[in-house]
Amino acid sequence: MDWNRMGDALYDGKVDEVAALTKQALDKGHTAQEVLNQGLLMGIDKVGKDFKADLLFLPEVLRSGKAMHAGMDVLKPLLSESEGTALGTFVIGTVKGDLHDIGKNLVGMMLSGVGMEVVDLGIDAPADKFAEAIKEHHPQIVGMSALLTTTMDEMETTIQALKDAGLRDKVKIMVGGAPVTQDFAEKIGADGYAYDAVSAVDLARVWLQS
Amino acid sequence: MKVVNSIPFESPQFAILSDTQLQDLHLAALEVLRRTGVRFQHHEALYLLKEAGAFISDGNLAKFPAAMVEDAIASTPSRIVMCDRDGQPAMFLQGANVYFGTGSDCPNIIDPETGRHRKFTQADLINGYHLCDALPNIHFLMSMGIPDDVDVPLQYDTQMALMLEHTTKPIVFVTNDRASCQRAIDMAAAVAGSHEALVEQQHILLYSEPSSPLQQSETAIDKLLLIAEYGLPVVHSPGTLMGGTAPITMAGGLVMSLTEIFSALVVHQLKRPGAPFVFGAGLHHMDMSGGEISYGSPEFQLTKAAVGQLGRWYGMPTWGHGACSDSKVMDEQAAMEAMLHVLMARLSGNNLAHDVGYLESGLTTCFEMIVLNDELVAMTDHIMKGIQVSEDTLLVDELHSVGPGGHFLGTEETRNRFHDFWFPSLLDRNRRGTWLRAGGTTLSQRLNVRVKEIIKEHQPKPLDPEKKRKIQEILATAA
Ligand code: B12
Repeated sequence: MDWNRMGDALYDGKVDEVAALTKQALDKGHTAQEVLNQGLLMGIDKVGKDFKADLLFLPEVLRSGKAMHAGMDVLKPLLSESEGTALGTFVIGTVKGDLHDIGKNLVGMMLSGVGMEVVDLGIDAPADKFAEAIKEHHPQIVGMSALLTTTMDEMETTIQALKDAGLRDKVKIMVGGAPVTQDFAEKIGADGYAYDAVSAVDLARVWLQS
Repeated sequence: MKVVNSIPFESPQFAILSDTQLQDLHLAALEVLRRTGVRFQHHEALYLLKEAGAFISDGNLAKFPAAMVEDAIASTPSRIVMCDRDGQPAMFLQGANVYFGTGSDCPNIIDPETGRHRKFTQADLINGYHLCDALPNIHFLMSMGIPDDVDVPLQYDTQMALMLEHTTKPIVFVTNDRASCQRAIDMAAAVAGSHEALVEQQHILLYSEPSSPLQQSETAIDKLLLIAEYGLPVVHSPGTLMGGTAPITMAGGLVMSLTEIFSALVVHQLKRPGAPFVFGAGLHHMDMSGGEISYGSPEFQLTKAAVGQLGRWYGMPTWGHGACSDSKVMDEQAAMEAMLHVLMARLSGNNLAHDVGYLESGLTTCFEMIVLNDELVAMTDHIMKGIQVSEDTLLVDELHSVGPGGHFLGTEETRNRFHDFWFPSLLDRNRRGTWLRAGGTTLSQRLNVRVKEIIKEHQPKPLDPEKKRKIQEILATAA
């Protein structure tokens, strides 16, 4: 299999081509795990590196993420349960009272672009919506976004509600958004804070590996 | 010498869109309103729309026949006269008049004393309001910061109470929800003497926003309907993010903005035909290296010009932006972007040019930027005056009488007219020696000194204690 060709297609954000090449690789007898590791993950890593090096821009990265996803969709039924979710599930939402979502969407797309399963709760999401999602999707990580100083406190409320529901210890909690800081994250008892989408991906990967 | 056959054409002529382009944008927006529609998280709005002939599907998706939209445009007044706190006319929002004001809710400030970036406080509110009250070319006040040291549910009420107390200039306000909007109106009415007097004077204007793309939130429409009921003015301005919440082209961003504005305007005019409404949108693009929202881009200027022109084409007062910047500090970038903003606002004729003082795409306010805006308005006043060419200004006789090799230093004409040229108050044109003797300061340093002087010295006209007491009473009902 020409993994380079798959890597290039991924790099160029060619959604259909990546899906087709993924199928082709399976037809040639490669295992789903091989295609994932040598084809998709290798390719997306290069995209991530080049973005950090300012060689790529967001729309290129997000498009590559979509291509990665198209390949994952082909592989998913073939990956065993543990392998399939090995990359992790991430529930993300904008907290209650807050309608800003572009930053959250960006973080969600970047996470899904590296192969994570992302469950998006949308905007104005109250605590019980997060709780329900934890029960339903069993994520390893829950991310909360707030863009208003007036809704930041809702993150603390949500964490408290998860504690009350006995769900807090089942997940790691990551918070972000323009007014949110590391100090604030610590103060409200979140497990971590990420400044932007790239660091959110990095932190999620560290958490999932440990 | 006689000037024959000439129509005075003094001030700069500027337009960004041709008639066909205006028409094409309008028609495209009508198509989106007809075909895609806009979601309203609001029962009364959906009811009003349905009654008036909009198509409602999927629970809350409203689609609009063109006539409904054009009726709403037709019933919107073409001008709003906003008065100061004393009821004197202060801003004529019409045609291409441009008025500048600050812009809202920055969580941070560059501390004028220390130069440090820190959280915005209630003390900053008062200083900022005094600054705007004092500066002659800041025409209206919109609370530049959101105070971190005030309880969250009281933040907007506190802004309104303090704005009414600390400036006489017209006010643009932001508020949480219907209840806090009602309190803001009540406070302003207490100052005007009655609700009726407030409506007559149009001393306050509400700022609200759709939730792009193509959605209108419950709280925003609650406020919009309340303000319409009173007949007080509102701007319902999309914060369009091209490449994020909107298509990636300027034309696409404009079409989406028009769609959102008009979907709200229809509801607003159904609630109260003829209620005053300002046509506005801020079209940013995402800087795709990191996703930041730009306030300083050339494209932001182009779309601002388009918004001014479209609004006039529709016969509505218009909204726009004054000196704001993506820079993190008051530096050369901030000054460049400020200049571009002020000049383009002047050329584009945006009636209310707000967000003066924004740094860091609205996360930080900077008082020095507000003073700079004031200076830039004075400067661009002289650009907008253009060149007068008339018998009186050609001065052919003057040239003849001085003749070759003479000079104009002491002539009567020079003596009488040198004042027509602009004198800066903060820019420095001196020779190096003079500049050094005066301290050899940079513009940033002089801006900072001016800020501190005004904050120290300026006392706005006091508000009648009885009115102040009434405001406090209303404030006490919040929480
Ligand atoms: C665009 C915008 C809007 C749009 C939002 C559209 C949308 N669909 O999202 C609209 C116009 C609808 C809007 C509405 C309002 N807004 Co607004 N808005 C902005 C603006 C200009 C940009 C935000 C943005 O999209 N940035 C770009 C993205 C990519 O950046 P980001 O969100 O910060 O996300 C990055 C990181 O923070 C991080 N991140 C984000 N989320 C998460 C989550 C996790 C888990 C992690 C790890 C990381 C992470 O990663 C992202 C990528 O790097 C900001 C100012 C600013 N510069 O932040 C004001 C701003 C946030 N808004 C403000 C206000 C006041 C409002 C309104 C109340 C105005 C009004 N009068 O109606 C309403 C609020 C309605 C509500 N209840 O939420 C204020 C907030 C003041 C405050 N109290 O804190 C700001 C600061 C502007 C201002 N000075 O007025 N707004």
